[in-house]
Amino acid sequence: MLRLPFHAPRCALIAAGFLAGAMLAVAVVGQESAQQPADSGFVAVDSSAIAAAVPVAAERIELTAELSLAIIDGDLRRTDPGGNAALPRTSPTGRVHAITRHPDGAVFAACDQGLFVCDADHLVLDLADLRDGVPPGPLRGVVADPRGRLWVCTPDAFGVIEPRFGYGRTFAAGGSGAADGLSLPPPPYRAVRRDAIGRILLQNERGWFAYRPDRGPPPRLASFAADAGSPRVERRQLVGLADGTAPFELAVVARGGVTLRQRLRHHHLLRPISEQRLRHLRPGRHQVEVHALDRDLRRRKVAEFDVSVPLPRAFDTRLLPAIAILVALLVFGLAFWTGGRPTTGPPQRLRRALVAAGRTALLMILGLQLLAATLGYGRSWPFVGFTMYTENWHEGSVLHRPRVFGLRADGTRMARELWEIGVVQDGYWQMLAEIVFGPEAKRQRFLRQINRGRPSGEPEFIGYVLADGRIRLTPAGPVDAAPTVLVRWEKAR
Amino acid sequence: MSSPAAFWRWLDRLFCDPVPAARLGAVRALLCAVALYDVLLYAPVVFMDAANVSSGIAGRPWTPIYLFQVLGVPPIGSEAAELAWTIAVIALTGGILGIASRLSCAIGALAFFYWTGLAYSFGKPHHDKVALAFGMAALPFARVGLGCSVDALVVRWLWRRRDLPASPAVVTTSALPIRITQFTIALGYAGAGFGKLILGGLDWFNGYTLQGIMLGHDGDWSRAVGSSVALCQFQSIGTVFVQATFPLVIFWPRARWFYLPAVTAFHLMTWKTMDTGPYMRLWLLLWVFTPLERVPLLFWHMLRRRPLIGGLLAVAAAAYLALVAYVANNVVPWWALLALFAVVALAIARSGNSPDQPPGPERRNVEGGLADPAREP
Repeated sequence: MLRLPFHAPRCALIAAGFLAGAMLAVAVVGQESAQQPADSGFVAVDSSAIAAAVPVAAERIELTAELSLAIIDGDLRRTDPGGNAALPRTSPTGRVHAITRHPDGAVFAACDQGLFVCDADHLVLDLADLRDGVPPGPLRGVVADPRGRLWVCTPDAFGVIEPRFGYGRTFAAGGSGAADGLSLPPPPYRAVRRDAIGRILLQNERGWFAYRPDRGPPPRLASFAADAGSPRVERRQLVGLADGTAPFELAVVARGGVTLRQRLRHHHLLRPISEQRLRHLRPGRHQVEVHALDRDLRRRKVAEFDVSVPLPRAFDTRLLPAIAILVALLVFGLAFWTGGRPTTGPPQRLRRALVAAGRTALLMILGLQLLAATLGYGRSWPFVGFTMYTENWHEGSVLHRPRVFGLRADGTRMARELWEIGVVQDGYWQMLAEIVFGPEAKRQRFLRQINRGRPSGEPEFIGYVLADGRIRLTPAGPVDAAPTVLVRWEKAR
Repeated sequence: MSSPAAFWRWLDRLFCDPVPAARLGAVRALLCAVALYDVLLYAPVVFMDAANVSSGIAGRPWTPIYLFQVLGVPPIGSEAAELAWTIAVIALTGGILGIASRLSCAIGALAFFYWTGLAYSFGKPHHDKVALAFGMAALPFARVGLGCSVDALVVRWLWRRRDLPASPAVVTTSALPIRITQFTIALGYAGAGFGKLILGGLDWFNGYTLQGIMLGHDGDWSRAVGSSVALCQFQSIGTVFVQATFPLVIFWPRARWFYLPAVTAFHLMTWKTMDTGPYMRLWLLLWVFTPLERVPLLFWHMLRRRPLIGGLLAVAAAAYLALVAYVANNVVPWWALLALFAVVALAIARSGNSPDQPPGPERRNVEGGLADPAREP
C-alpha cells in the first residue's frame, strides 16, 4: 500500500481551510473594490445606501442661525422666519436644481443657466466667475468638497471646478473622459453628491455611481521620482518672443492626464497653457510660475521661469534713441540752414546754432508727444498715449476689486480698507497676489500689516480673508455680488 | 508759409511770443509749487519702495519707465531716496520763490523727473502730470526769474542803489514754458477724448462703460452718480465732448470761460466718483491759460465796478483756495500753505492799491504778451 508522506485527513482539512480562506479573500477584495472603485473612474454603488451616505441634503442650507436657504419648486428661497422670499438674481437662473455650501461660506447653485453664487452678506444669486474648462450647458448638480472644489454635472458631462480661480475640467462620457482615464456611467446625469467617506456620487437613470478623488501622488515632473521627498521646482531662464509668448519644455506627470497653467508673478490668475508655450507676456522681465494640475485639480507648482520679453522693434532701447538722434540732427540741420539769420548778438554762427537747437528741441518734443499719443505705450512717460478708460463695459459686466477682511478670534471679520493697510491702488494685485500664492512668511507679514493701524479698541486679528470683490452691472443699477474668496488664512494657535 | 524760414518764424511766434515777465514768473511759481506738492505726495510711496530695496524685501516689482531703461537707471535705497527728496524740495522751493530761478528750475525739473520715474517704475505711469513734466522741463529755457521772484527784487534793489535808470514798467519775455504747458494739456484732453471715440467707439457711450469706470474705483459718490445707466450715458457724452474739443481754448480764447471751469468740475467729479484723487496737479495748471498777472487787477475792478459780481467772485476764490488748502494739507505743512496764501493775498492787495486800474486797450498795447487781445479771454 502506498503510504502518503502526510496525513490525508489533516491535509484535507488544511486544504479546505485554504480554499475557504481564498474564497473569503476574493469575496472581501471584491466587496472592497466595489466600495473603493478602481483608479479608472466611477463604479456603481448600492442606491439604497446613498440616502444614509449623503451627509447633507442638497436642497437646504443653514447659512447662519437666522438665515436658511432652500430649493422650493425649482426656486431658491429664504426659509427662515425673517425672510421667506425668493432670492433676487442679477440675471435669469432658470430652474435651480441643487445648492451646496462652499467651505469659505458662499452658496453655489446649479441652475439651468449655469453656476450661480450668493453668500450671507450678498443674498442675490449672481453668475459665478468661471473662465475655462467648465462643462457647458444646464447644470443639474453641484457639491463642494473640503478642499474647496465644486463637483458638477450637466445632463451630458461631469466636471470639477476650482471656484477661487474660475477654471475647471470637464469629463464627457465616451469623450475626453476616457482619455483622462475616468470612465463615466452613461448619461444623462441627474445629480451629484458627496458621501461621508469623501466619494463623489453621480446619479443617472440607472442609479448612483461613486468616484474617489485624490488618489495617488499629486502632479510632479517626470524626471522626479514620486517617493523621493519634497518635489523639485525647476527654475530656468527663458527668452520670450516679440509676440508675447515663450516656448518651453517640461515633462510633467499627473493622474488622469496633466494640464498646465501659468501665473505671472504679482498676478493672481492662473491662465491655461497650450502647446508648451507661455502666453500674454508684455515686454520686460517676468517671473512666471507653471502649475500642474491633475484630473482632480490638485495643483502643484512645477517650474519657475525668468522670462525676458523684448520690446517691440519700434521701442528698442538702442534703435529708437538712435533714430530720434538722427531725426534731431536732421531737424537741427534744417533749422540751422533755413532758419534765417539772427540780426543781433555776436557771434552770429553760435547764436544761429543755439536758436536752431532750441527749435529742434521744441519740434522734437511736440512731434514725440504726438507720436506717443498714437502709439500708446505708457512706460514711455512723459510721452504717453491716451488709452486709459477706453475699455467698454456692458450690461452684465462684472467689476473686480480686491477686498481684505481681518479675522477676529471669535470668528467674525472686519473689512479693512486697502489704503489703511498700505496697499496702494497702483499695484494692489501686484502686492496681494503674493499673499495668495506666497510663502508662509509673507502671509504672516501681511497679518502684521493688517493689524497695524486697526481701530482703537479692536482686538488683534488672528487671520485674514483676501477676496476678489464683485459688482455686477445691471439695468437696475450696480449690484454687489458675493466676492470670490481667494485665500483664508489664520495663524497657527 | 511760403518758405522754411516762414515756418520757423511761425513756430517761434506760436511758442515764444513775448508775455509779461510777471505772468511767466507767476507760472514758474505755480509749476514749481505743483511739482513740490507732487514730490511730497509721492514721497511715502517712493520711500516705501526704497526701504524695500534697502532691506531686500521683494515689494512692488521694478518695471522701469522707458527713459530709465535706456539710461539703465536702477532702483535706489532709502539713503539715496532721502538725498533725492532733499534736493527736490530745496530746488523747487527756490523755484517757487525765484531764487537763482533758472538754476533752481533746472535742478527742480530733473529732481521731479527722477522722483516721478522712481514712483512710476515701481507702479504704473499716469497721465495727470504729463503737462507738469513738460512745463517744468521748459522753465530753464526761458527767463523765468524776470518777474515775481526774489531775483527780480534783488536786481531792482541793486539798480536803485546804483541809481541806474528804472526798468520799463512792463518787461516781456518768451512764453515758451506757458505755451508748451498749454499745448500738452490740450493734447492730453483731446487724446483722452479721441482715444475713447476711436478705441471705444459708440459703444463707449452705452452708460455701462462709465458706470463700470466709476464703480470699479468706488469713490464716495460712485453709487449715487453711477447708479443710473441713463445718467451715465448723458455724462459719457458730456465728458467726451469736453475732452475732445478742449483744444478750442488755444484757437478761440473766449472758449476758456467754458472749458476751464468745465474740466475743473470734471476733475472734482472724478475725484468723488472714481477715487482717482483730486487731480489737483492738473486743474491747478489750467491757470496757464489765463493772464495770471491781470487776475488781481480784474478782481479789484469787479469789486469796485460791480460789487455783487465781485463779491461772488471773492467767495468763489475763497472756496477755491480753501479747497486747494484742504487737498494740499495732506502733505504740505499748514504754515507753508499759510505763507503761500499770504503771498497771494499780498499780491492781490498790492494790485488793489496800484494806481493802474483795470487793463484798458492802451495798456494792453503796451504789454507785449497782451498785444493781441484775441489770444486771451
